[in-house]
Amino acid sequence: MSKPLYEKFDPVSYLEIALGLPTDASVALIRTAADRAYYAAFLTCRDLLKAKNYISPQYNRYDHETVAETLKRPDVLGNIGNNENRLRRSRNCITYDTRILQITHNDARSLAWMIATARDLIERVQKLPECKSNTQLS
Amino acid sequence: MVIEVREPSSISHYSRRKSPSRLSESTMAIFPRHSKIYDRDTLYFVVGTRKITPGLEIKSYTTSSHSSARLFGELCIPTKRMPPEPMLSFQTRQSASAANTIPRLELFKIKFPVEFIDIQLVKSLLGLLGIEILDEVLKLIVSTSKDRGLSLNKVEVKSIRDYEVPDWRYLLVLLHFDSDFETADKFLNYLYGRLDILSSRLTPEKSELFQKVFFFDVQTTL
Repeated sequence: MSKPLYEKFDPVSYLEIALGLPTDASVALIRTAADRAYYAAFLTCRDLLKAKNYISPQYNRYDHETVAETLKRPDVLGNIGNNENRLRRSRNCITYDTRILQITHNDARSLAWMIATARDLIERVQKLPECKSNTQLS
Repeated sequence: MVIEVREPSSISHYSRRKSPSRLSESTMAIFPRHSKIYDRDTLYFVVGTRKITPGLEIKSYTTSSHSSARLFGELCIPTKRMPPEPMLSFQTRQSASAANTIPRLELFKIKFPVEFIDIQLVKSLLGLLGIEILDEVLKLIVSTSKDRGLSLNKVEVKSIRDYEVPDWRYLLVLLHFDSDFETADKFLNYLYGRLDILSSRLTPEKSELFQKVFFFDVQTTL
């Protein structure tokens, strides 16, 4: 068996990239960190929800919808799961919009908020019990 | 409550689509099928106390029930300008005078603006059940912001079509505050608890729709 191109990894480690930024980091690094903060939350939540039998992910773009909706389920996080969608829209703004971004005019949020919100979501999903009922979303 | 509509053509479409006979106790105002009573710059506001049929008939009725389904149907009285003939022939003086004032609906006791971005898309996304949920959600947002003493400018409601996931559409309820982001964010996180309670009181069908379709965020001015 040939050596894999990429090893399996824990997406929560994306947060380490975001947290390891130097104080004089460039705009590119800051935006990349914000982008990775979102993916740390999304991918970790997806993998944990899969491990705990809440969802059957497809490991592609369709998982965005599945994770966003599942997190809001009353037996998962309830409405605080809405913050995953906020992270995603903010990430999209920060990644795609190269203009000046203002919190008053755009979906963009600060890197500190992105990291704190991603951490909070991950911690909440980590604490979830295993799903025993057959209520998986397809 | 004031509702701004950016897409008057969608209202006209909705009005024509609904037959008056199907609106048994409606507060809906129906435009005459071919009358030109608005233009692209006209805003429409809820007034909701009269029923105007294509037969130019005006009927008074009560507004005891306040469902959002009806609320959507009431977006039919032009306000920024006087309508041309033949609308004037059956437009009441009361309605005409509403053109220069901010009319209120009993739906909310406080004046409160909700802005729909392309209301036709919102309606098609939500359906009647979703509209009823939206009604309850808006009431909850207004009452909670009032309780917390926050300056809520308006609520923006729009249908979002995800650009990445095919066929994924959801409703974004955007709360506009005259505050800094931290204050608004704190409020939204507090609101989640109230929304959880609301969700638990909905029927299973509505609860599932709410969970899948409704998403929230804040926009701030500071």
